[in-house]
This record gives sequence, C-alpha cells and structure tokens, in this order.
Amino acid sequence: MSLTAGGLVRDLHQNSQEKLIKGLKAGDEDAVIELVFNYSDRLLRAATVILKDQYLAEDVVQDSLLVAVSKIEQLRSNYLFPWLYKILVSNCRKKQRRKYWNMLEFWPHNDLELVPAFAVDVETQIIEETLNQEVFSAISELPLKYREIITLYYLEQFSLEEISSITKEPLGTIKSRLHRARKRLKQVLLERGKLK
Amino acid sequence: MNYNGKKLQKKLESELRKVAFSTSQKTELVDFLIENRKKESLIQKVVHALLEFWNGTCEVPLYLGVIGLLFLVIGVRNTLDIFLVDNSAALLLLEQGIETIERMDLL
Repeated sequence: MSLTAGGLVRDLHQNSQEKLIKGLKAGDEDAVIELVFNYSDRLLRAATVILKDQYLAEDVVQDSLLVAVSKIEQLRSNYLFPWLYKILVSNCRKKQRRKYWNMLEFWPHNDLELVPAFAVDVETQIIEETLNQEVFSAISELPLKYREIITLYYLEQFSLEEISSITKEPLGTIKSRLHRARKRLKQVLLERGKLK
Repeated sequence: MNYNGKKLQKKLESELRKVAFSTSQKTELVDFLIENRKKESLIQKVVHALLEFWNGTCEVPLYLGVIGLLFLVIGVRNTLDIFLVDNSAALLLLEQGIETIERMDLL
C-alpha cells in the first residue's frame, strides 16, 4: 500500500473511505480514533514541509482535524482526503499570514507566542543538519505556493486535478506552477551540490 | 513521474519519517476532537461568546469595538429626533397614559 494520501486515494478500496466518512458523520468515536491514529502523521508531514516548522504544523493539523470532524456533514463526495487536504492547505496559508503579522509585532497575541521566523529557521537548520534533511532543507527555500505544490504532488501523490481542487486554483496554473517549482528546486539542489 | 521525481519523493519520505505525533499526543487529539465535536446552535454560540466576554476570558479587538461604537453613535444621531419632545407633547403623552391606566382599572 502506498504511504501517501494521494496514493491512498487510489489504493484504498472506496468502501473503506466511505465507511470512515459514514462513521464520522454518525459521530462514531472509533472513526475519530481511526482518523487520528492512521492519518494524522501524514497530515503533519505535509504541513511541516509547507510551513517549515513542525510546531506550527502540529497546531494546524489539530485545527484542520477539528474543522473536518465538525463539518463532515458538508462533505458530499466519497473521497475524504482531498477534502481534508483542502482544509489543511487553507489553514497552512492562514497560519503563514499570521506568522508574518506576528513578526511585525502589530498584534502580538502573547509574548511567549512571538517567535521570529529567523529563530524558527535556525532551529529547523540545526534539525536538518543533524538529520541530513537535504531535500526538506532545499524545499524550505522555496516560496509557500511552490512548497505546497511540491508537497501535494511528490509527498502526497495527488493528481494535478486533485491539487487544483485542493488549492482552489485553475488546472493550468497548477501545471505551470509545478513546472516552475521543479525548476527552482533543481536550481537549489544544484547550488548545494546535491544534483549533478 | 520520471526517475528524478520518484527519487525526490523517496528521499523526502525518508527524511520526514521521524516527523510524527507521539501516541500520547494522538490520544489527547482524539479526546479533544470528540469533546469539541458537539455542535452548538447559533444562539448557544452567541450566549457562550457573550459569557466568555463578560467573564473576561475574551477580549474584543479594539477595531471591532470602535466600529461598534461608531454604529451606535451614528444610529443614535439619526434617531435623536425621537427623544426630543416638547412640553405640550410630553403633557399630552402623560395624560393619555394616565387615561389608559384608569380605563384598565389598574389604579
């Protein structure tokens, strides 16, 4: 079985997803447990790549799962994961915007929550160097939209049509953005000597 | 996906394998989701928000307060005429009120 959400969409029998959706709509606690224990890590990895920060990603995943479980009645299709990732990407974008505002210190929520981006990036840099996270580090240098599409296409293996639905962008935009993201990533990896 | 794409995918997956929630975090997350799943009606949400504000656990953002105050001032200013009653009109209203009460045998 593929380890990615997009792969899961294809590999999982449709009945399994329908069963999970049905359980969530019925308020079944086992369905919530299945959702969290089997799929929260995947969401966390995707959010970590997009946000470049695991701690922020944990908050976003929690918020996204809460929205998904609360608003499961709104899901009309039989596929849970593209909808779940739509919520996740939307929350990642909101979190990213708030992170920039907090950096400017116009509306500090709480002094303890004010973590300048450079401090987070230093910590990420240390983790990357320790764990030899070359690709993650290279992707971290890309702009948000490129990180999103790299994550959804390569890490989660969604199709371009699914990505277009998740990010609410036209298919043509997604195609050209993926092309540019690949080019930029290749450039970064070449500069770091990771590609020949 | 070409070879480079697959290689990229595998490398990224392997680098992120350690990024995961702990079992205790997942358990807490499940409890949190189950507890907060209960849907509140709109009225309940409004009451809950008002109670939070009254108990001081929630602060209204300043710009919202200013906007609310502006609306209040504009609203009062536009309806100010209703509150301006001259002496004769006030006397008439008072007399009518007393007659109504007498007719209802409340006095």
